[in-house]
Amino acid sequence: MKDLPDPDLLARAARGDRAAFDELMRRHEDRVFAICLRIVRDREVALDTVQDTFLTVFRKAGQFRGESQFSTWLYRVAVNTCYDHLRRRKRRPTEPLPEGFEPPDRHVDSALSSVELRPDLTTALASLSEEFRTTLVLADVEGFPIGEVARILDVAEGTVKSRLHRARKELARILGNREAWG
Amino acid sequence: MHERHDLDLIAAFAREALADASPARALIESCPECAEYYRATRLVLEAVRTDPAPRLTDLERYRLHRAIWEEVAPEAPAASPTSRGRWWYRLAGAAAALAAVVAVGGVLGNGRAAEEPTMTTAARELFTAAPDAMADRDETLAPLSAGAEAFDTTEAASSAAGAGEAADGAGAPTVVFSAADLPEVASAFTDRVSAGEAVIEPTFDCAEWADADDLLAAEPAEMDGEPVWLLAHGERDAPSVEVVDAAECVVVYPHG
Ligand SMILES: [Zn+2]
Repeated sequence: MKDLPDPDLLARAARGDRAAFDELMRRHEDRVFAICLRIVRDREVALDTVQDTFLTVFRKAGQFRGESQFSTWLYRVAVNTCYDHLRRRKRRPTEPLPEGFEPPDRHVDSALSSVELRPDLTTALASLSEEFRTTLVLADVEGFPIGEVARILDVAEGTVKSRLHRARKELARILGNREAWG
Repeated sequence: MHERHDLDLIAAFAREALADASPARALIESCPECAEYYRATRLVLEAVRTDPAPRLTDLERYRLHRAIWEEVAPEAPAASPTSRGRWWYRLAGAAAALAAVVAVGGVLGNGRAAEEPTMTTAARELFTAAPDAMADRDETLAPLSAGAEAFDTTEAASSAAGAGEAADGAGAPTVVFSAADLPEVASAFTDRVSAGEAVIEPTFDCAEWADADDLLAAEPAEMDGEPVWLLAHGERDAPSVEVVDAAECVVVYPHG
């Protein structure tokens, strides 16, 4: 079972083989969780999205034709599931930044650049728009190549690049890049 | 300054992915905007590098698998309808998961066991035989070595065959022991829990324990021919260990 490639496990799962699907989940669940947690920014919600992602994959297992890689399909389902969850709780305000933190400002006292006052990556990511955050998570955090990010998000590579450039600048500003911005 | 900043080149330079870095370096030296983008990208990549990747906890992992199967159980093709078939199906699937984890932890387990004279040979065999057995899962397993007479591994695949297609590929062995060896089994299991080697098997379904927030491990086994769960909860350093009858979800050890 452990030697079988993902598409074979998926085909077995489509025939009701539970052990095959458990193995498939074990291979990918941590990465799906990491992506979802960084997109939805709430552990409980992330757990829900991971569950919904694998339920969708299980139910559509028989429809997977192998035109794309299984992982591309899986992460696309995951990202779309995250977006669905975000839309459902859209009216909630974004999470506040940590106490004592203010967005970097070139006029602010230099103490702001101290490590303690820097927000962590997760908090900083929360300030980005959904599209920028997801693009940056897939490309810079998870390390997917630009072409793979484009396939997961179903957009052109140029779109990925442009979102990524702007997301990096924005995130660096939030992380407090005083050398670049002061 | 140039008309169009080559941000892809700068990003590749920031990732240290360029064989020849001199064109990127020239851009950064001559263009403030390229220099700014370089510093921004470096800062982001450094933040990513120092931020640990989130992972599921054992309990979250277990609950995820359980939730999936609770949700899809009515949709998935059923295993054998007999109750005996059902528990074998469950045990076989559980054993596959157990063996997968034991195979990873087996090396550690072996090393640890060698340093622990208090652990009986038999108990040690119980928890270290699984990886080897796993490798030969399609063949009849040889009896365990001397000192482990009380223990045996069964070829779960042959038993699971009656459970039908759903158990396909889940032919891993499970641990088998007799009630007389309960204290040793519990002790060995306690050690594995404390070492972080024991897992919560996704198919574990005794609600009283499964829904508790302090569940540490639930692994399938067979005692005197009946399926049981080895359970651990509480603190990992000093876990409470129980053996629970899998069919009834009642504690069979410790007694009373
Ligand atoms: Zn430039």
